[in-house]
Amino acid sequence: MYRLLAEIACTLLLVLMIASIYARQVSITSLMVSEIDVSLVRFVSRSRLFNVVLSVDELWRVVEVYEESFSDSLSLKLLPALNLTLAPTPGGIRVYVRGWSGSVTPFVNVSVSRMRGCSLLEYREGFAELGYADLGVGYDPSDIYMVFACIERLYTFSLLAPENLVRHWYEWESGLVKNESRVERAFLLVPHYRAPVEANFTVVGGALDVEEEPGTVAYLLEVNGVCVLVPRLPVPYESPTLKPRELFKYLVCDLEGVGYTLAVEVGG
Amino acid sequence: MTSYELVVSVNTAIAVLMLVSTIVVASLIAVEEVENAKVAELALARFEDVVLHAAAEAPLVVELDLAEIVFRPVEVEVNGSVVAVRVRGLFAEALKYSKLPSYLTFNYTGLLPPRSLLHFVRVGGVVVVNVEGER
Repeated sequence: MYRLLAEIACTLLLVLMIASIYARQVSITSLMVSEIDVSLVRFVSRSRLFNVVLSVDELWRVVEVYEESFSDSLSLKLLPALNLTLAPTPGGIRVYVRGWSGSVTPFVNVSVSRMRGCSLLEYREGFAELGYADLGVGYDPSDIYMVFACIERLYTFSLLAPENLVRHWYEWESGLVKNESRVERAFLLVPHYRAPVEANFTVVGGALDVEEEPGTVAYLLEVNGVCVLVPRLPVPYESPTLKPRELFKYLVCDLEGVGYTLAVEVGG
Repeated sequence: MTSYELVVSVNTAIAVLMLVSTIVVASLIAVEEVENAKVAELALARFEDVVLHAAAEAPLVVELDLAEIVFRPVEVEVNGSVVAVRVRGLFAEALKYSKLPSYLTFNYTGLLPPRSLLHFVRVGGVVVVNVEGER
């Protein structure tokens, strides 16, 4: 009798112990899953992505925070609000306007500036009713194209240039253009204007302090007779790793009172 | 059953029970360690979230109740721009800390009271947080 009771007691004890371990493990399962959200929440808080309107500095800070602390756990894309692409056709380039999901964005005003060197070669504007517009601008892969799209108050742009003409010389912390060679002339690219605008600049400790117009998205600098493109915004930015999308939102980058809409995608 | 068999079976039972209980305790410690680490990480993320959102809206006063941050009792310690969250358990404790962005600093050193008022004040380009314990 006593042996039977002792066996029952031992069995109950074992069952209780196993059940307690199981209960503990079940209780932490939700916490295991929450790790992904923590990274995203921390990134959004630290980079101030909860704001809708960001200045140039704040936009660069998003990239800096990402590269410093979250490049292992998250992926980041900073893109124009619309997917603006050019396709060469026999009659000139066709501008495609799509959302990033691939859907057609109708009734978009589009303009294209084609630049060779620092001067405007062609400018056309039109209306993309059903996702594309044939503007009849010639295509040469060595030229710089600035595509500007607007729907009501939504403005967005895309700069397309050969890689050998792009220089990442803009220092967002000081607002200066870092440059060790001699710059002869500086031009501003403002999507609201048709052509590049020549700008005054001063040299401050080996860097250029360019007098920007509101809405300047890039500089065209003439260096030793060659014109190079210096983007002012970290757009487009794509991290090397790609993860499932956790956050997609539109934000407005304010450039001295002119706002351009961008899309940000964070994966985790 | 002879007395020899009885002694052997009792000893075997004790050995098995000790083995099982060792495994159980070790598992509990490991599980609690993981759980505390997760709770600390969650609490730190939520605390940072509250503080950084509030800093963006400064000047502002935020009434902070640590019990609302996370479901387990946690200790939050601040020192200038460093925040540490400690979660104590029966077997294990976890500590997570992080450095706040340079534009945000606490004018307070030590453990935060369980309920407190955080005064976010903009001084130049920096947001300073003054802590007032709730009476």
